[in-house]
Order: sequence, then C-alpha cells, then structure tokens
Amino acid sequence: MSRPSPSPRTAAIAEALAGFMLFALAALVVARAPVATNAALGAQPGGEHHAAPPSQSFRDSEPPAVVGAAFDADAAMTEHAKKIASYVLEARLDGALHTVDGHGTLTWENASSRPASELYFHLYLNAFKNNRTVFLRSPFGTGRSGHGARKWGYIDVKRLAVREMGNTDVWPKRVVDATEDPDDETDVRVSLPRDVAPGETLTIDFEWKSQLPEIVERTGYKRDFHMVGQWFPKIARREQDGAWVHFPFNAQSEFYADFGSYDVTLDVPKAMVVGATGERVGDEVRGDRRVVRYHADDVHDFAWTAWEKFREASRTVGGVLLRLLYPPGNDGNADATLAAVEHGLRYYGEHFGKYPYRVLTVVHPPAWALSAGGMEYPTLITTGAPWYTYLGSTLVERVTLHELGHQWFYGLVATDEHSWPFLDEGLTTYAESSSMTALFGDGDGARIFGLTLSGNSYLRTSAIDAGHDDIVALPAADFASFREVGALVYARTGIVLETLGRSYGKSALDRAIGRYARRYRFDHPGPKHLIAVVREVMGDEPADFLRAALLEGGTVDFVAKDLRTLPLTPKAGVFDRPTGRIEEDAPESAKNDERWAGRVLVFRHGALRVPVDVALSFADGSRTVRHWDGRGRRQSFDVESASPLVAAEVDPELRVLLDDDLTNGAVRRDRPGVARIAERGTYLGELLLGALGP
Amino acid sequence: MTSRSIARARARAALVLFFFRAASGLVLAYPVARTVGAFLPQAYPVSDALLFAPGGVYAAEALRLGGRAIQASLEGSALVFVLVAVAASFPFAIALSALVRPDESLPSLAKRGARATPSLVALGGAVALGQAILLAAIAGLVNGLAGSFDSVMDERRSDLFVGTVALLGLLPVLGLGLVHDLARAAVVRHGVRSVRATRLAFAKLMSAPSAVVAPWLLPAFASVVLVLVAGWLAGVLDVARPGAARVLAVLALHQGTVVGLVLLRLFWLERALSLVDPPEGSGGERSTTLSEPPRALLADRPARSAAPDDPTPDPAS
Repeated sequence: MSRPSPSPRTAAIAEALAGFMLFALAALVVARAPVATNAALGAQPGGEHHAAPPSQSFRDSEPPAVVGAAFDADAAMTEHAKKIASYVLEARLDGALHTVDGHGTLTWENASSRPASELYFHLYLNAFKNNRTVFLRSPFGTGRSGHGARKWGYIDVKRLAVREMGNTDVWPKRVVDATEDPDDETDVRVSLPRDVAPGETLTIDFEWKSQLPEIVERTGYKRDFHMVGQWFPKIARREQDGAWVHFPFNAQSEFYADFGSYDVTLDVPKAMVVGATGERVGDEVRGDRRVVRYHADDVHDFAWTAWEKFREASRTVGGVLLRLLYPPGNDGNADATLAAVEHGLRYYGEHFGKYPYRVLTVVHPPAWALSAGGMEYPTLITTGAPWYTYLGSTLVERVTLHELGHQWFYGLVATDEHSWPFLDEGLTTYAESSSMTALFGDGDGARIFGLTLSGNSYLRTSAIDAGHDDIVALPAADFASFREVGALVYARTGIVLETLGRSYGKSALDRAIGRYARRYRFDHPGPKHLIAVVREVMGDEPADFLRAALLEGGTVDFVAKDLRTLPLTPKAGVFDRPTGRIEEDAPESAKNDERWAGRVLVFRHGALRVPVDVALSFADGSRTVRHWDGRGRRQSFDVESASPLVAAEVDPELRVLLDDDLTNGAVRRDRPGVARIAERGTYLGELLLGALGP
Repeated sequence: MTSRSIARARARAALVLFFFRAASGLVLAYPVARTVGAFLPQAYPVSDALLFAPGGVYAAEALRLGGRAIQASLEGSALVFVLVAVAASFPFAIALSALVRPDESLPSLAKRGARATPSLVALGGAVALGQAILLAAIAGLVNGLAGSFDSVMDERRSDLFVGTVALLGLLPVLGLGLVHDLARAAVVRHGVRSVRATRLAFAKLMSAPSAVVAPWLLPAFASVVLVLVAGWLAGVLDVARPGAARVLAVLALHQGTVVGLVLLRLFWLERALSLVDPPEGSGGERSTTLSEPPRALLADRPARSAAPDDPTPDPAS
C-alpha cells in the first residue's frame, strides 16, 4: 500500500521546517568543532592545593643620599663586577640520555661583614624531581610554562670539597630540608668545619650529574634539542649583613646570585651546534665529540644550548658580536629578531648604559620546544615563536626586546628576583614597551586596516583588573597565582611607570631609570634604591606616587559628575541699601549678551595622587583645559562662558593609564551617538551575511 | 528582450539583495553598537571615535568593562543572524526570479520567491549542516596532524603540509557551496524541489567541473580584492578623527563595496542559472536574460510545460 502524497503546501512547510532545523544543527556542529583545549595544551587536572611556603625576608640596605647627575652618562659606570662567586666547570652531555656529567671549582668570597659557618647551594634541577616539590606540587601548573614535568629531572652532587679546610668533602653533612620542606631538594645547607671570615675566599671542588627534565621551565630537552639552564650546584648569595638569600625553587620565582667569572668547557656530540653564555674561546673536534670552551666575566649565571639542527646567523652591532641560533624554516623570524636586537642594543644602550659585553647569543628554540623560549641569562637570551609569526605580527620583536631588556634589569642590575620580581620583570616590561613604541609607534601591538593596538592597551587591561587583588612589590612566591604575577609584576609595573612618565615627563623618568641602571650596574639594589633615584631626578611627588603605586597597592580613578550649566542672570530685584530700598531691573543689553555659568565635579577615588587636566567643552565648539594637581579628593570646576557648558573630560590626553575606569572620567549633557560603531558593525554584518548567508 | 530590460532586471535583483543585506546588517549591528558605545567615555564632541583611536586603549577598555555585556549582545545578534540567514532565502529567490523573468512585476516575483523559499531554506539548512560537519572534520584532522611531521621535516614545511591538507579538505566545502548555488538556481529556474535540484546540481558539477568553477572563481577573487581595498581605504579615511564627513565617506565606501559584492555575486548566479539543465519531465523555464543553453542540452529537453507545482504560465513560452 502506497503512502498518500503530501500536498504541495504541506511539502513546502515541511521542507522549510527541515531546513530551519538543519541550520540550527549546523550552528551546533560549528559550536562544538574541535579546538585546542586546556588539556591539549598541557593543563593539569585539578586537585588539592598546597599553599606556597612563606618567602624569606630580604634585608634591603639604605640607598645613598645622592647618586648624582654623573650617572646620567656612561662614563661614571663601574667597568667590572666584584668577583664573589666564580666557576670553572667541565661538563659532558649525553645526547641520548639527556644527562650532564660535570666537575668544577667554585671560588667564593665571603663578601659579607660577618663570618660564615655554613654555605647554601641551590639545586634548581631538583624542582623537577617529583610531583611533590615546591615547584611542581601545585596541580594548576603555576609556572610560566603552565605544565609540569613530563620526564623527571634532577641533580646529584657527588662531592663538594673545600680546599682551605683540608679538602674535606662537606657534602655528606648537607641538610636538604633547608627550608623545612621535606619534599623539596632545591635549597641545601652545608655546614663547614670552621667559620669563613669576612673577606676570606674558599676554593670548592665539586662533582655532579644532572638528569635534564623534558623542558619545563625554560630548561631541559625535547627530542634532540637541549636548553640547559640552572644545571649545576649554584651557591646562594650572602648579603652584606651576613644573611643568606636562599629559597626553594618556586614556579613563580626566578633567581638571585653573585657576580663572578665563568669558564666552562662543554663536551657534546660532534654534530651539535652549541650556544652559551660568554665568548667562545675554544672549539675542537675529538673523535665523535666536540669540545667547546666558553668564558664570561662579570656575570652571575651560565646557560647553554645544544642542537644538531640549529641554523646560525651573526652580525656585529656596535662592537657586539650578535649570534643567532634558530631552527630551519625560521629565516623570516631570524631577520626580525636580528633587527629587533640591533634596535634594542642601541635603544637600551642610550637609555640605560652601554651593553658591556662583546657577545650576545640569541636562541630561538624550535616550535615544539617553545617552553624553552622567553628566558634571559647573562649574554644569552631565548626567544621563540612559530615560524610564521614575523608575518603581520610584532610578537617576535616584542619577545626579543623583552628578553634583551633583561640584560640590563637582571643581568647588569642584578636585583633579587625572588624577593622583588617587579624590579627585573616590571622595569623590563617598561623598557620593552618604550622600545617597541620607538620602533612601531601606536601599532606596536597590532596594526590592521588603519586600526592600531598598542602594547600598553593590553598591558593595561590585566594591570587594572588585578590592581585591587594585591600589591605589586610582593615576593614572587607570595602571589596567589602566576596570572597575578603576570598582571601585577609585569603589566602593572609597566603601566605605573608609563603613567609616571606621561604625567611628570617621559624624559625625566627615562633619565631617572637610566641613572638607576648606570649607578647600580653590577650591583644588587632594592626598591628603595629605585625610588630614591626617582625622587632625586623627578621630585617628591612622583617618587611618592611610585612608592604608593608599587609598594602600597595604590589605585586611582577619576570620576566626572554633576555637570550643570545655567544662564547667568544679571543683578535684578529688590535691594535694601543704607540709602533706602531700591529695585533693579536687568538691563536690556545684558539680556542680549547672555552669559552662562557651568560647573562639573571631578572626584579622585583611590589613594594615588596624580595631576590631571580637565577639558571643558562648550556648545559653540570652544574648549578650555584646566589643570588639577589631584591632591584633594574632589575638585569643582566652575566656569563662566558665552556658551553653555556641554561636556567635561578628565585626562583628555590619556596620561593616567593607571586610571581604574576610563569610561567614568567624562560627562556630557546629551546622549552620545554611535554612528561610527553602527556603521562599521553594519558593514561587518553585511560581509558576514554575504559570506555565510545565501 | 532588450538589453535595457536585462539591465533593469539585474538592477532590480541587485537592489533587492543589497537592501536586504543593508537592513539585516543594521539590525544585527545596532544593538551591539549601542552596547559597545555604553562602555566608552562620553567624550565630546564624538565619543564613539575613541573606539578607533590610535593604540586601541579605549577599545580594550570597552572590552574589559563591557566584555560580558558585549558578548551577550553578540550572542543575541548571532541568533538573529541565523534567522536572517534563513529569511534571506526569500529576497534571494526574488532576485533570482528577477533574472529569470525580467519583465515580471515585483509582486509577481515576490509570489514566485515565496513559492521557492521553502526549498531554498531546506537547501540552505542541508548545505550549512554539511559544510559544518566537513569543517569540523577538517579541524579535527588538522588538530591531529599538527606537529606530527615535526620530526621528519622542519616546522615551516610541516605546517605548510598540514595547511595544504586543510586547504584540500576545504575543496569539498567549496564544492558543496557551488552545488548549493546551482541547486538554488535550479529551484528558481525550474520550480523543482530541493532534492531534485540537488541531484541536478551535483550532476552538473560532476559532468563539467571546470565550466562551473571557472565562472565562480573570477567574481570570488574580485570580491576578496574589493574587500581588502575597501579596508585599506577605510583606514586612510580614519574615523578616529572627528567630523561627520569622514563617517559619511566611510559609509559610502562600505556600502559601495557591498553593492559591488552583490553585483559580483549576481554575475556568478546568472551563470549558475544558465548552467542548470532543465530537469527531465519538469518542463522548466528558460531565462530571457540568460544566454541560450547549449544546443546539445536543448535536444534532450522535453516539451515545455509548467512545472508540476508551478501553475504560473511561463511568459517565455
């Protein structure tokens, strides 16, 4: 039995309904299309959260009363660092097992004012030894790379003998739970047979073996690529007052060490191309091995890389031999990197003092080992981005200029990155932004069809959002998450300094930071030293602003309210005078010559005091700008004019990038239109309909 | 049929499509524009210019403060977009009918459009679903392949290889789009239902792929160039600066671009109408604006009659 045929009308309705449902289904398919998920990107599952241990206290010395204008020029800079901790190392890389066998000699001077009865060593690679270390115990991957160790890494010290103490191996007496954390072996205390007097030098011979992890935090291996950092037993820094600055390796933290010289001989498979801190002073092939020797003075760390497939480019920039190691297929990125370094060496040299070394090695890791990228070591930086990034993006230049900036704010001005991370990352972010703006203008973030995005605009977004969460000047381990580190240490410091420059003078700020960088080259200043130099160069008000913004969690938000305007009435009415009561009428001429009174209230929310301009606009198109020192909580702007006051705008030149809310700083009497947005939106809608619709 | 009436038919078709797109674009955009505008400072004389200001600080601020409201507004517009995309079948049918019957009045074309709309909606939905499934499959394939070849070739070659696979994977999506256009042309020209129109379109694409792809390729390429040039010119005009003249100039530029895109689309659709053979047994109609179908095709053509579900007499017969 055949089914009856539907009528044409029924068929049409059914067809239309079916079509509509298919459209809906199509939308659902698109919405659920596979995309890169957190899991695919290496995020770890949730679980019990362990709070970070409390950080060490840091004893900050008082800065000198005056640094002096001499440090506005390079001539006053210290030429060399005082050698406190110098290493001679010999190491052999097993490319298949990813191990490094090494032995070496540390020459260490007790530069403090007190005797030392013990030494502290950082064994940073032990951070990747298991999933209960301070570094890896958080299930949320709080570090920069955002993922844990896929292959464990660790360091075994076999011997540590002090020549001046009878060549005694003191390592067996070590205390691995120096920070009273039984699961962490990154911070080790070694007792000495006798005290080391102030000024006395020890010669310490040691042997060790490192098992590199698969790259976690800018160190380790991936396939046959090796980026080797934090790989040897490294003595902690002892402050002037005898306090050791030692800490377990925290995923949110970086490092702190004394200056010295490094002489390192690396024995690697013959086909490996090697890049390292310092100058290459030897390179010979012995059978199937290559032995290269590097030497670096005035540095406080040593890192190296080895990979067979590196391409190499080099050029000399202002007397500095620039060597770039990059993966095949990255020629475009390589050109962009070299251009950025050339610009950076010139820009930073002019602003913060000449780059003092004769070499700079830039390592661009392969895309599949990107976690090795974005790191700074003395005279060696790692960048990193997919091979096509140079096409229409400034990311290559941004990463390069950031890491290069660290040569000054970390490498030369060697602040305690654990206690005051904003002093290296924050100042470097400011330096990076300034140099990017110098290179690309307002479009240093992105540029498309005449629209530009600056780096400061997206820095500001995270800086403001996190501004009420915590203060900037926290020790790295004390931040709630690495996201907070990014928002406060990097972004907010950058925006605070940008606001300081825009409000009190960019050239004055650059002079202050330049004076700070030159004076404290090869030194270990703290926040007080930075603020003191800002006070010296820019004055009390900017210095107080900087202190409040960085150390006290200060915020600011200018709010414009209550805009009013009324016609001024001439004097008229009944007045009692000594001569008797008089009645005055408004003169006819005054009625024809109407004047207006206008008023707007501007409030300053938050503790930060910063001066601003307020622009007042009138119905006849005229405009006047008033200045407010921003010291009070509010200011009334009263004007008398020939035309009604129609609008007021606080900070029209956008100097206070730190303003919590840019939308409430302007007020107008009428309702603003959205013609531009509607026009652009309509056009985009039309294009979308043309592309996706019938 | 004079060239004047053909030109008039094209103009009518273009206007129908353009006005629908413009009205739809405004409906989609205005609520979002108002929402975005609410998160800009009330600067004077123009506040919405700040959205385009150099550096994008205010644009980023609007997203920071109004992100969730803007997202909600966009989601509303996305739903409206789906409805508009479905509704667009009607003006599309009118436009195609106008090309087939240049001398008919607009009300008569609207009636024809209304009759063809259900089939066009069904076709649109089926093709959208098919393309969505294909795109999801391609995305899955690319996700799976990404990085798989890093150990045997450098990263650029590896990415280019995967990209080539993705582009090849897009060919069926493109083919489906071409089938869609041909099928819609068949619906309007011959009054057939969606399934039969699809069969017809598939047959045409498989039998003479170059004859279908070649006339599509030129207007498609020209459309991309047109949009890029318009984007560059809009950047030069720079609406971040105050002045109604700039806004009007960009409005004219963008709407001129849309008109150009509509004309390029119609250029292709005219060829699609001429490419669809009259289905066996359906009678079918021959466009008077279109070039004569190949003689070989006409030889198989049955005696002309009204389509079974289309009682309207064929003016060309």
